[in-house]
Amino acid sequence: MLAALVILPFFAAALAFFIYNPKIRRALLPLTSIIEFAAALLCRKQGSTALWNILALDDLGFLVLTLTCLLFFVISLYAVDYLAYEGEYGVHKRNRLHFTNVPEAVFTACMLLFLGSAVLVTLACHLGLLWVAIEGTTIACAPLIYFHRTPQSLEATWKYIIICSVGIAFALLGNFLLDVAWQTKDTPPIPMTLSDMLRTASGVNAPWFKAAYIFIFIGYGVKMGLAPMHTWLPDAHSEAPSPVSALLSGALLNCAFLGVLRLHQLSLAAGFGSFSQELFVLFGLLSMLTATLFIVGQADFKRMLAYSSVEHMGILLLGVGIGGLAAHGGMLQLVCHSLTKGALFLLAGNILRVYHVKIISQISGLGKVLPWSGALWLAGFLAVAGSPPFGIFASEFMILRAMLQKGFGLVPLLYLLCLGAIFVGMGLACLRMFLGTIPADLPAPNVGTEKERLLFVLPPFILLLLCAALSLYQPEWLKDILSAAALHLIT
Amino acid sequence: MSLTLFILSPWLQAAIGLILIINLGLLAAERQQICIRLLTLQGFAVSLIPVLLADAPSGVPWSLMLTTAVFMLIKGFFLPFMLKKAHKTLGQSAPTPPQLGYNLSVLAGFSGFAFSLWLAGRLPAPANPTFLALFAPAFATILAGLLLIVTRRKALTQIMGYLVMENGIFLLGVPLARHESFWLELSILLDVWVGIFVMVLALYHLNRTLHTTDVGRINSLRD
Repeated sequence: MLAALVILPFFAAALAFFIYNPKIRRALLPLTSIIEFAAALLCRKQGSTALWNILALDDLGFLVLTLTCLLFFVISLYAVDYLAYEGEYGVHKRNRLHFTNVPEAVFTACMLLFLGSAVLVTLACHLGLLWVAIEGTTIACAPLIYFHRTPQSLEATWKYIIICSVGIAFALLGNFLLDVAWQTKDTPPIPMTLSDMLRTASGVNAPWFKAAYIFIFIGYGVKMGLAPMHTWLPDAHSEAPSPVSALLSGALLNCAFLGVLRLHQLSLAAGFGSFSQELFVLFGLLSMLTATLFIVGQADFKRMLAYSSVEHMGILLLGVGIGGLAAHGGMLQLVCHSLTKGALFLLAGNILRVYHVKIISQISGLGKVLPWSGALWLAGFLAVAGSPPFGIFASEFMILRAMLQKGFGLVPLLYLLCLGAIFVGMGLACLRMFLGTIPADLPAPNVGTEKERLLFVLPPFILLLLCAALSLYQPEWLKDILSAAALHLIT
Repeated sequence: MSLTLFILSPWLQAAIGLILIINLGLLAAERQQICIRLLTLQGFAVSLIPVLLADAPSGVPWSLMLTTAVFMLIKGFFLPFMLKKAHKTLGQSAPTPPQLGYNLSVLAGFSGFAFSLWLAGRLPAPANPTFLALFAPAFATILAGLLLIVTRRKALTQIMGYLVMENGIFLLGVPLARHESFWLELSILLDVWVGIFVMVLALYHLNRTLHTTDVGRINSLRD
């Protein structure tokens, strides 16, 4: 079953090149992801055993796997209509945009390759395979970012591939050092599987482990968009087409985060929990501060969302670094981040489709031009900025409570200052876009609801609804999964 | 400290010496054609390391021979072929000096090697002594690759820098390889190969769309 979970998306990706009917090819996206989602649930229910000692489904992996499949499914519903709207090989000469899209078969195949690689990341219990899978997600995303073939998207793709490849190369170096840290002269070679490494972690060579930790943390931290290694992220997120931006933010960053969490699990087992936690708190705060500086006064709304992802990654790291209740909050934040950021990037696509600009000051009257998307945009802002009744409020509050309970000095103050400043900065931008008069140069047919197709509005609505539901009511099985995942990250 | 290098066989020392000289050659090279030739040579030298490290009396296992052949094919033939083709397609352009200048680049390469030797001397002894013996040259190669990426302005040279860095990491990983991890080595190599392929494709698009491969001039995205 685990092998089927990995193979299916790669098979579907290959199939995308042999299906000539665009409607059937597009249907591969939601179909594959929903089958993956169902298969993941079945695997969990049946309690599948590890395969070849390199693939296994543990609590952390299950959480990220189901979240990725669910997000991919909802985004692919949007993408089906998005691709139909964009048209294959269409040259788009719009008001202020000129571009030719990447062939649709390549786009579909790369989306599915990304899904396959992400699934492999969640199932990999061998650290070498985990690296291969994370590098796979990097490669699969590059053509997706360059979908519109604009000079800007090309520049973003180049930066993304070079910076992430170098980062991932560091992680590979770290993996080798990790192997050195685990081997001793007296014992036979220990395989790099998570179970074997956790079992033998007490005899680890401390200096080699710390060196390995730094390289892997930097490597996966680049991919995760942690400051100051985040430079590729705002460019890639803002220049990619909206469904891809949603996937990058909601799924790709989680994959890298899972890599960091695996490292944290090893640190805890090896007795270096405090070393890891201190680094998490430091980089978490640094990411939040950096994001705050760039969100306040940000001119481009997609870049604003991208920096919000940097902030969320910082909060995730901070939650895990603080531990206890905060780790549980971190897991909830992981889920809610994916849902809200997925919704907001899809809505950003709706806005961009009508206004043709990403400059906040040139967008006004969103509530009148796109009533549904406008209302969801405001709800999305409330969700992403951590207001009730959305799940991020609950997760951020849990992390704050844990910080205050454990007495983290100035950290709670800085945390609150960043959250407050980001709320104001994003709020001003979102309200400015929502309110005001319709720009004079906006073509008349765009005004009204006819541009708001059902599949452009329904997916972000579903994602935001789920995020709100998580705050108001969490079923027992979900609580169990979140607690079990958090338990892996607590000493 | 660096004396650990001398536990290696003379052929292995020669191959490592060649890799280190190529690092400096790459940092000093002005023309991309020369860089590609040097990189081809380094690819071959690095691919030979697993066989040179093998315990001769017990014979070289067939799986190792096969791995070496695959590595040589990819590192010494396919990757340089892609770079050569890209260079030919992009056409001749005036060499762009590195941001540090050629002399300082070579000096930085030397300093990187000196630092690697110093670092290797201070590291705790690992279970596998060969790993420590190869640490300094491997780390110096990684640093040389990073230097190429950071200081060179042509996108093609940056890709070559990434390849040099990968060669260094490969060198570090060779002593750790086990027979049962053949699938992993091939997966890593495949990932790197596809990664370079995507970079070269992006390079073609950069040249076609922006009419330049000078990354210093590709900076329209900023806050």
